[in-house]
Amino acid sequence: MILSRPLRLAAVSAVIAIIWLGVLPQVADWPAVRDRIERHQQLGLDPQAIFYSEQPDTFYAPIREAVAEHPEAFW
Amino acid sequence: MSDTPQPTPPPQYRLSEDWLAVFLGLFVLCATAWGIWVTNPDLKQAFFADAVETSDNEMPPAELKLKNPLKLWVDKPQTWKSSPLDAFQGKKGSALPGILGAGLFLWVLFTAGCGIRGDSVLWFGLTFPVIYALSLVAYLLSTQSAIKHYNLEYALWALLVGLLISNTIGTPKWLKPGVRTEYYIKTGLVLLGAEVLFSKLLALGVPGICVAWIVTPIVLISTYLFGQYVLKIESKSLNMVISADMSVCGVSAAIATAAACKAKKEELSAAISMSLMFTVIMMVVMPQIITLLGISDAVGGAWMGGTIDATGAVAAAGEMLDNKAAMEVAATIKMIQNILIGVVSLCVAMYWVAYVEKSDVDTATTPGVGEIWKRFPKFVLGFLLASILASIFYNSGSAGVQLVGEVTSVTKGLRSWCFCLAFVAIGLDTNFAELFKTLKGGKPLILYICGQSLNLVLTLAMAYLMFDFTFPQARVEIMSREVINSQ
Repeated sequence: MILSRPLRLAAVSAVIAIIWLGVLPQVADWPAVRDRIERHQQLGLDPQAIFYSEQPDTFYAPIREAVAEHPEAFW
Repeated sequence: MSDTPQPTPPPQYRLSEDWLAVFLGLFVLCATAWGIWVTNPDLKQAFFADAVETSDNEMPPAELKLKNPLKLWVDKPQTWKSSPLDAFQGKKGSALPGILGAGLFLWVLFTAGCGIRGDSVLWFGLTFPVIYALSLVAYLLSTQSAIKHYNLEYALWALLVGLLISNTIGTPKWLKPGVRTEYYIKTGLVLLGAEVLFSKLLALGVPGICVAWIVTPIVLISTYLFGQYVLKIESKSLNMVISADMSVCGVSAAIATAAACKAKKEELSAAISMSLMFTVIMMVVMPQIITLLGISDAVGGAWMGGTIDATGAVAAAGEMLDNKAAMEVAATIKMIQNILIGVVSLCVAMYWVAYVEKSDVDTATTPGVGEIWKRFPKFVLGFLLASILASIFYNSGSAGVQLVGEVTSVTKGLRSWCFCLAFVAIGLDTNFAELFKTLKGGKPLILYICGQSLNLVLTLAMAYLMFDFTFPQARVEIMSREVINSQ
């Protein structure tokens, strides 16, 4: 059966809605996924960052301090 | 990147899209800086104080706390789990003003840009909100918590949203004036320039430079040559975009390189889709391999930082190792690699206009300076200018560090929206057949796998050489700091 174009769009949109509103919320509750999400949230980590500036400065600060305090170890 | 050809060639006096992107990008950066400057009278004094006394520019003094009223007006949808409406509720209040504010600002900015260039303001103005609404849908798909924490970035969903429309009902003709991939991407890239701060290059001393700036160009060039001479990939731009995406820093490098070498839209889409798929696998598998092989945290962190494409995925993978220092090393190596995209896009643009485009047109003559200048993608100059200015301010003292931080806290949100708009536009302008044609024969996949394998071997070797043999004290300092911090 060939669906008309608007019907195709509606069908794919419905599949997306079912996955995003029905399946993925369940997946987010799986213990392994939930732990991962909680750890990221605690750290303030943005797993979708496409550039370093989207991550918190605390990720870079300890190494920056180590380099500033002991330059001989890094240069 | 090459968009669909315009029906009529632009008149000679017409402002090119490249120059327009430079103008708009720099205008946004300057206007944001000015807005912060006028709302913080203390800032002028702080700059003066920095000028007369030397201070540690990495450590801003606690007494200068800048106000940034613009931050409230630029935001993105937040993480949600079961209801997309939660995406409009941020930690510090509603994200709605920021989402609407960013949309309104970009609407005015891009419509004004169309007016300056002599394009149809009315049609662009009418269609932009639709593209923005589709970008919002893409963002909502990407911020569902399970999707977000496995690094399936908004670029992928924006592309999907566009493809979904173009391959079902077809992109309506009336929407075409808003489908302006290059316009959005180039403006976003000029904004990104302000985040490329050259002093970050020194963040991890010699080990950082060697892992991120020696291995990366070797892998980039080797992969490109492998694609050209061994796999004989027909499209040089596809070859270059995959090589840069895989060796430098994923999506952002792919966008910058694709624009610099004028790659086709479907080539950028193919490179990014492939990279994101491998990123998900690598961010889950690599920490396990590192633990299994007993690789030290510093070496493991550097290995992941240098090889996993996406910046966010690097930190997420580093976090899976027991020691937090591994994540910090991984994130820092990736940050140093991020800075490389300025140099890479400049070199690619120069190589393209001087050699690749020359060989496409006429193999016998070398183009003169005038011809090279004519072909050179001018937005790269805006990107570099923004980077140089931001780097100068950043290194001028603590006030400069804070000013750059506050400016980019606003512009990085706008930049993300620009890229999201661009990927929706790419999807709206592409059909699946074209996309699959790009991946035909499996050569791009082989290129990616071979290039990434070389990257994995060389980066691991360099990380060992640096942290275990040449600078073992660096590893000790990083690890001991972690012990101090955890006590």
